[in-house]
Amino acid sequence: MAAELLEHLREQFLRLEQTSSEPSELLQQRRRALEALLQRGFPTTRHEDWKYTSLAPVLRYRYEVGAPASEELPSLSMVQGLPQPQLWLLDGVPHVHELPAGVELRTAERFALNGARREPLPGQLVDVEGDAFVALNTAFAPVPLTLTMRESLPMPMHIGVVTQADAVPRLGQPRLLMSVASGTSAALIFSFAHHGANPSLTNAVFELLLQPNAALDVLLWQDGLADAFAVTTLAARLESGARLRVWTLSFSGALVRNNVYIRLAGGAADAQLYGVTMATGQRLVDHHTRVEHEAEGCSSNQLYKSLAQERATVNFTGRIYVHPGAQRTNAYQAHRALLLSTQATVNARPQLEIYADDVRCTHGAAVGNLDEQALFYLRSRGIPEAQARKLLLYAFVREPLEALPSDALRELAERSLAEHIQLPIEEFA
Amino acid sequence: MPVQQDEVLQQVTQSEYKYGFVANIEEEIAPVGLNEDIIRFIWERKGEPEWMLEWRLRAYRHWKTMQEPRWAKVVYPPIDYQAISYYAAPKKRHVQSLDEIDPEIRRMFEKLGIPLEEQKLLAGVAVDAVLDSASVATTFKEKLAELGIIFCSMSEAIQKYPELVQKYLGSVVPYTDNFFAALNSAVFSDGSFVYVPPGVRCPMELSTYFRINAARTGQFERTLIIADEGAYVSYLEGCTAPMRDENQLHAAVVELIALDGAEIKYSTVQNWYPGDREGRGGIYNFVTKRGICLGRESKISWTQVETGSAITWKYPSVILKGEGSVGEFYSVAVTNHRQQADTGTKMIHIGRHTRSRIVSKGIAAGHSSNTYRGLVRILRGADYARNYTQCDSLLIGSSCGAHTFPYIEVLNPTAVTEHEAMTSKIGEDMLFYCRQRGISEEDAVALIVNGYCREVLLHLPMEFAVEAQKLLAISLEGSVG
Repeated sequence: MAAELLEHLREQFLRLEQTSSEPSELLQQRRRALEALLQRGFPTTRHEDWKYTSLAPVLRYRYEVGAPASEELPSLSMVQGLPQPQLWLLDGVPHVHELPAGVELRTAERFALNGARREPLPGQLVDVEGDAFVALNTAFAPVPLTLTMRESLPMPMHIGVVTQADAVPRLGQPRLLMSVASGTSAALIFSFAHHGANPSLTNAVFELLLQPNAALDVLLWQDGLADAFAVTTLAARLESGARLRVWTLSFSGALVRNNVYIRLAGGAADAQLYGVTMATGQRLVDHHTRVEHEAEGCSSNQLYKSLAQERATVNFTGRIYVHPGAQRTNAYQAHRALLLSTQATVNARPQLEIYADDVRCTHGAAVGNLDEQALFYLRSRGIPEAQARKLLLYAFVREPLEALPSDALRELAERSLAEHIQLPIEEFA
Repeated sequence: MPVQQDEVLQQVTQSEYKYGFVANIEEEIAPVGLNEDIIRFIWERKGEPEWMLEWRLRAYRHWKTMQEPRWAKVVYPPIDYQAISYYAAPKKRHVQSLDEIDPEIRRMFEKLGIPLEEQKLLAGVAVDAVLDSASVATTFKEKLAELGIIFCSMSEAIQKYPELVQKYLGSVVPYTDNFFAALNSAVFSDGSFVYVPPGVRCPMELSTYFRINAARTGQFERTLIIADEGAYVSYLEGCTAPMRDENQLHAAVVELIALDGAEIKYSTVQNWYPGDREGRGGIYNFVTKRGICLGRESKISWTQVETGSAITWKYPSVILKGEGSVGEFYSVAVTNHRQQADTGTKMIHIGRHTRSRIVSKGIAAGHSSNTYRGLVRILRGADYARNYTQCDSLLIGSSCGAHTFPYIEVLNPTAVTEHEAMTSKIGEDMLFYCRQRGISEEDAVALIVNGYCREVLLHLPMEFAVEAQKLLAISLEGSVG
């Protein structure tokens, strides 16, 4: 199955390579990535990082890569209530609607430039050859883009990530290298959607460079994936004093893997990771985080809350890695899940790997069910059981949303969450 | 303060491993290497029945198809399994009574603080002394026999109680389980066997003392403990080895079986030679320990204090099969110098209303690496299962590593699991508080470490708790983080 897909990918690569006009440096990187992928193949559950997530359902299809079926912007309603995206990534290909002031978008052509203003080649923050999905993305991503934020953005920038599988199964591979200038602040919302009747796999790789004292909020809003597959790798490097917050709202997709890799490279940097997961039906949601403390005096915090219902599976693997010399580190991590059905599964691997002594690192993981006493309390106050149950689920899982940067965003996220729980939130407002 | 710290640290690093002597005992040692002939040699020497040979050979053939596990967070050069001698036993060991024991062996055990004369023993501890591959003495046998309790060496059990051995040997840890369990099944030479009949509460602590003496040998002992319905037994295990530049392999298998309402308490104070401060020599302690709560309301409790061994690779586990059964794991693991430990537990919840509790305290100093690795698995049918896990690590010095790798797999919605872990150093505030009250820095650290491990040490029987506290003091006194 995987072998067939790999062969299919190899054939497509040879075709694309012949017609490519990309600079040789980039082409070489693509070829190395493809060779690494072909050699190592896709990971199986024997691979420690994929122990609980079988890719078999994803690797069943012969995905088409390359140019999208249509150049037209689809009339998609992305996240309800959000303004239309300012930038679309349709099957990985950028369509600029309107970029905010201070944001610059450049494409691969710039790699050919000689002299002082060469762009950094993407792939600095991810394992281009060792990670199968990063290799896949590197080999095929239509246009590696660099998005540079030179000024603070007053409003969040919305980026729509859409994979269109109208005629054939499609592999959409957005690739972005984002850089936030020193001392500025910004917020980015990535909303994920699938379009069409065929299966699709969105394999996104986002690299983030935060210059000293930059501040960035990122929302990965996975609401429109329906039954599609998605693997997202978000890798960030924070210079001194930089602050990053990442929310992963995972409400859709048949199999969703979210890798969030953070390197705290400069002193006193801070990273906060939040996750809200609603897994129903046969969904499988797999969160994978790695926070590396490389410099002194950095802090990090992770808070993931999950609901596993029906036949769904929620996996969480989170690692805090403290490098030698990263003294005065404060790192926290918590994954709490409610397991609500006899057919559902929760697997958690909270991990600490620590090589410095002046640290304070904690992690916690808990799996349980609703508190019967709380349920009784609500029922004794006249709230019907079904309603009370939903209210408690909602209250449990919404905690990571509290820190969202604006009230408007928080309300939007809360409303979306309430819809998925089928809780008429207005009645309780 | 740093000057003082250095001094104290130096004292610690120079403190000698006091069990590192070699006793001059005449031993019969098997030719170096491993093949079917060696297994026949061991089998012949032990005069075992035919079925044991078949079992050993099956295990050996399976072992040959297996790969040595490399997933643990430990680093060591490849082991040459053909360079080890798999059998070493003192020549003069067939004795009718304890008085006939080779005086050299007696002196050695006395030096270790394990007198084999019954009258000298602390009240209520029966000892099985295992030297290299063979059990040399078992005390208080008769007194225990009055209650129907069988406490003897494994070799004796194979001869005298074949039906019990055949029924339970390999039932918890089959030879197919892992690489080292397969190797052990093929070549194990001795160990302890305990059977406590229904309704009997074993009146004294049973204890085995393991000693590696011969060079270029491995120790492969096998322990099997069966607590029949409503029985109770508390078992202690201690171990030491001489100081040598080479690494010696210790690959034991321990199997515990608790039937309805039975309780087994298994305590280990592991003090194998850890190697010198540069990491030369020391024991590779690759051990498989597992218990099964077969019966309803049964209970198995593991308590371990791990201070020795160059490398520790062990995960004492409990399979909670009987309804309402309880599994416990209390561990203190200390690593110093170049020691490496990858240890933890597995709690497999199968039955309804099963409960488990894990308390693990890791202390890493010097250039050592200390890893907790544990699995809590709640299967679909384990309604109302409950697990609580707490694993803390303490780092002393900036060149060591402390790691936590728990695996939590929950498949039942009525189950509740909780896991908490924390890694930190000894707080300056705690030290300051003690110093302010006139306690020396060294005593303050001892006090804090003791307090840190208290929850585990409390679960050790009295004699062992004293020994464990001394061991902790030797390993860590004064090493302020």
